Amino acid sequence: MSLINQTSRSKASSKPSSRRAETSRVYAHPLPIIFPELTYKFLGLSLTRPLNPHCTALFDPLTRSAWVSDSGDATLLWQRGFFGKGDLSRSEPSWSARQINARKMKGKGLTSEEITAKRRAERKQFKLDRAKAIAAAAAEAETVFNEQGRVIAPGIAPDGTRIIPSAATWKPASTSVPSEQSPLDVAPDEEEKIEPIQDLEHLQLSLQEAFFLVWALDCLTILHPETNTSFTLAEIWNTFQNVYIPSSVPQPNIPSPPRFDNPFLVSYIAYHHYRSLGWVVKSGIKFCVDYLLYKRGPVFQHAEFAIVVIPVYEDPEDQANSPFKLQNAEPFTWSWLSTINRVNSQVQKTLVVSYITIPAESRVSPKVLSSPACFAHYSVREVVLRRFIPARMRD
Amino acid sequence: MDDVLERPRPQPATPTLDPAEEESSGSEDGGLDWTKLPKVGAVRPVIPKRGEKDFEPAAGGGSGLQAHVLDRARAAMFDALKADRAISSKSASYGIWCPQISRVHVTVARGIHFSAMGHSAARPTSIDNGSTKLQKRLELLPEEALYLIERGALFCWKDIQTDLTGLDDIEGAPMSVQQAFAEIIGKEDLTLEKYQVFAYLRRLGYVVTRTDPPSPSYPVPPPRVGSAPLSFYQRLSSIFSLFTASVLRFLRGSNNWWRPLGISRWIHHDKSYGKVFKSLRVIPAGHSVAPHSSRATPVAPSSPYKIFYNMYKPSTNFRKTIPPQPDFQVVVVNARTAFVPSLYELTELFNVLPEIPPPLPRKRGAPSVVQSSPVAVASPVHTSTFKHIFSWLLPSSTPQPVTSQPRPHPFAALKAGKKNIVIAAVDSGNISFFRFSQGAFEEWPTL
Amino acid sequence: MTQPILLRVSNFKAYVWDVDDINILRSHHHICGILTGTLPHLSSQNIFLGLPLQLMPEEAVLLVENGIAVLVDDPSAHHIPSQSALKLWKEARLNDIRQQIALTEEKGSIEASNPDRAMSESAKRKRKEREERRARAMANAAPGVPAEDNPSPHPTSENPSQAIIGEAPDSTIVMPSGSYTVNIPASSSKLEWYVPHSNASLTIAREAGIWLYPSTLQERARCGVFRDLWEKGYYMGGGIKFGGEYLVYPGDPLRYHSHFVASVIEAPDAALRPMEIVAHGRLGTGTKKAHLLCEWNDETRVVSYLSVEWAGFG
Repeated sequence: MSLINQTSRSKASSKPSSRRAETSRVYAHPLPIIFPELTYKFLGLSLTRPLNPHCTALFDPLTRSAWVSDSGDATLLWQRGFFGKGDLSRSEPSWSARQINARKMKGKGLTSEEITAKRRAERKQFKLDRAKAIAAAAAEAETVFNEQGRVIAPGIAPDGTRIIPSAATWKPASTSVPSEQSPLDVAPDEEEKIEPIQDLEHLQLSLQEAFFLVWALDCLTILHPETNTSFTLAEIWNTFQNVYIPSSVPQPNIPSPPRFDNPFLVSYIAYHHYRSLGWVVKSGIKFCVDYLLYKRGPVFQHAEFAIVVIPVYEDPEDQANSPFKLQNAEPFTWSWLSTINRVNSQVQKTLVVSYITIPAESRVSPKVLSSPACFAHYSVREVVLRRFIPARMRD
Repeated sequence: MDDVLERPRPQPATPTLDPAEEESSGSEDGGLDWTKLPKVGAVRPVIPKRGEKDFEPAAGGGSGLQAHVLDRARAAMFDALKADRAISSKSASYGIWCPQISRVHVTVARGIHFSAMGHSAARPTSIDNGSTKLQKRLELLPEEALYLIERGALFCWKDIQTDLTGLDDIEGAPMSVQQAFAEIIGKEDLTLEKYQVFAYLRRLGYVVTRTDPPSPSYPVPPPRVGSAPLSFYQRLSSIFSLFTASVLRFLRGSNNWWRPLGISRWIHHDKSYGKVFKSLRVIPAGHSVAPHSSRATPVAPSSPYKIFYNMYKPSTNFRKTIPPQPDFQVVVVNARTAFVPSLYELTELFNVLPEIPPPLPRKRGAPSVVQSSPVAVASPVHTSTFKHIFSWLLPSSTPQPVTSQPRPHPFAALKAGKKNIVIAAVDSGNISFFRFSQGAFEEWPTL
Repeated sequence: MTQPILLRVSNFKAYVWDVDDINILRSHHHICGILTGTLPHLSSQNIFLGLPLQLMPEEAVLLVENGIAVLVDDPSAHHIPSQSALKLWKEARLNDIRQQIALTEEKGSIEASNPDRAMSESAKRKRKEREERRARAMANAAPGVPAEDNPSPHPTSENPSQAIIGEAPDSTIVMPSGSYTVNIPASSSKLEWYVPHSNASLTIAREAGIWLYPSTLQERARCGVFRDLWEKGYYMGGGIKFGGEYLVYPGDPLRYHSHFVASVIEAPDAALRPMEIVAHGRLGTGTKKAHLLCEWNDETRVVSYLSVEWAGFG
């Protein structure tokens, strides 16, 4: 959920329907490009020019990402297509909004860090309480067994209620949060004297997102990290691939020949494919997959599909002599498949295996790698994976 | 919104009370409470719920109570395991295991099991005057015979060379279940894993047959109608598939690959997000074209990924002599030795599978029409698929005619896929079933 | 010294068929195996399964290496019975049947002489009719079973449907006409012609061509890790559904939940991907288990452990 908009929302209205409408208004555009309302249209021709913003990002080779520091650009790229993530936030760059909120709420509420700390303390207490209750119930059952030779169900009160707390039933004993945490002596006007908060956060774009914005949408300029000059498209094309070349490759001065299995290209193929079909594509690392697909965006609903990218070499030779150890290129075990499927079904996502074929060098000349024209030689095929439960399919 | 889900839950989303769920979600083996099991001979077996467990044994191997409860649990388990396979002489079936031909020749067939198992085969039989003659008889495949023996429904003799005169009804060496496991598994391509899957599905009431007939007399479903030649719409849609479209575009060379976004300043209908996305679809996609391979046979002949079983729901009207098209087809692999199938292996599997129309939204109130077989249904889908793809080529401003046919929900269609194969991966007796579906994201853009 | 337990091997799988052996393995050696057969009295479910007990190969290897069990080539242990052996078997069976029938008749006469407890004739008749009706209904309910679908087991018979329900022709000659119980033995131990031959070590079994495990690094690593955990006193079950090789229990799985999911890493220098840490951390939390990475060193034959748990920051 957007933290930035929570503040504006709470002022406007707290009704869920109008909140939804507000979200729809803020995130109305699926891409940074905007098509203005028609002014004049004749015989299918119109004169209004699509508005394509021009954002700027700084290339960072160490993190293999591009940083958008201008908060206007960052907001625009996030709101129109959910590109990037705040480097101090989980997704939307909301650090400064959180700071302002925290300042406003001083003494009234808790910051998310404080909430986390409180929750963690409660969780710890719950575990201790539960362990105590289990031990007590076991001791009681043990006594009954030793003295009367009876076996009782431990942890069940005579009236049948459970004594052992579960995560759902446990409540903190009392509001033990010490009051010293809420200083009441802060004068209300003190807030204004405090220096305005400087936004320290930047929007971090993955190289796949950055290339999509630069090449496919033409709305981003990438700056060189040292010279601060803008890269040409051809330079970006080479640079983004080169950062994936392992540094241990001998003769670093001689540029290694481009390869179809460059990790940047393989993951870009998958990213571009799903973006071009209208999906909002985000990293899936938190659910141990490559990408998550959202129909409209993370603020609207949960991701529906979890994508595992599997590179498929057309020629095993190319794999054998590759400097890259592409993730998932080796056949994987049933136990791993079962793991990722279980993780994703826990969070109601459908697991999709996305096979990206890597053109054989014996079939396609590596010369096509000099430009994105090489994309036409790759291909994408999905296989949707689900557990099959025979007991439920009987009708 | 996934931020909420980012914290792993300490508890599963839904409590598992449903026995089907418990069975399938990988309930821990050996973690069952056998004391809740009805005693042998109880009238109606009820599947009990999982019992309460302790966290860990007390120091020194468990307290007095823990030891007592454990002993009770073990005793209940061993009692259940000692249950006899006892059948009334009036309902027992008899058969002879013939290892040379890997079949059990059924001499007495009783009970409903034979409505779904066994087939007729002509075998040379010696008749009174010493000559032989081809005669039809009822035979069981190894898995069918073993299953009936295990259930205590079939008494099986082993065909032996010993002289049996004067032994009345004895037709060979009487076989124990142990001998049946030792000798019948391993015959006619039946591995232990394949048998375990067969028995698992049979116990749930599914009818399970072999996909490839092990002998010419084994009944198989009639060839699929319309599976060989592509329908008109299929051909049309494959012409306009993302695969062909992007290849054509590339061959024409009309694309400036450094500037893929083709929005005309002038043409009005270009100015939409749908149009932008469409112009960006430059990567060939979909299963309509087989993946390239530098090898002549990208799938090794030793690949375990061959369809082995046809599977019919208990509700399917199954006729043994004229089996219908299966509800599911199953591959069985040993999870310890096989990796997850490669794209090439999956492509070979999908090649022989029928295309299934996407699920239509359920009409409220009206009960859903029971489909006898998913394959038999004429697919109105191709129309919509075609329309769908065609709409990329036509100006998007022209509204699509509203058809009375309910459109499948895109998510449901994407999740269902076009072709399905069930793969059972067996790891030392633990069976995991997965459904692999041929995806078609390129046919269902969100914008 | 007690007799070693016989593990019956066929198709490179090890089974236990005697319930007492299963008890010893479980209670004395904390080896559980997995039940994989159909329980004859509960044959329509998959939750509770019966004999045989299938052992994981690493379980069998440990039992043999420790001298607790030996491997038996099961197919060759079943010899062909001689005519005299079969005659004895037949006699025993006939005796059993006669006893059964005598017992039933005795019970029947007691019931008849005791009208309070015995069912009246009309009640018996009614029950019989009820049973027949049920049997007919069952037969009809069986989907699409025209009698013609079943080729006659006795092709000489002119009437196939009669042959299906008919008695085997020979049996009427000598077999008692009353109803009795036919038993299908689970284990072969009581058959006179079952003569198991023990392979005392894995080497001998390997030379005999009946057992090959472990033969790869991966298999050695699994055996090594399994043994190490077993020696620490844990019970182990298969863990493939939980993202590992084993579930690790503090006591008998009948009474305790597993605390760990263990995965075997073949070599100390094997790479660990971030994805795996995420997956195992996440899965462990969902199932209240910690993930245990067990790293096998094939040279030193030492296992080192690393556990992964979700910390819950943020």
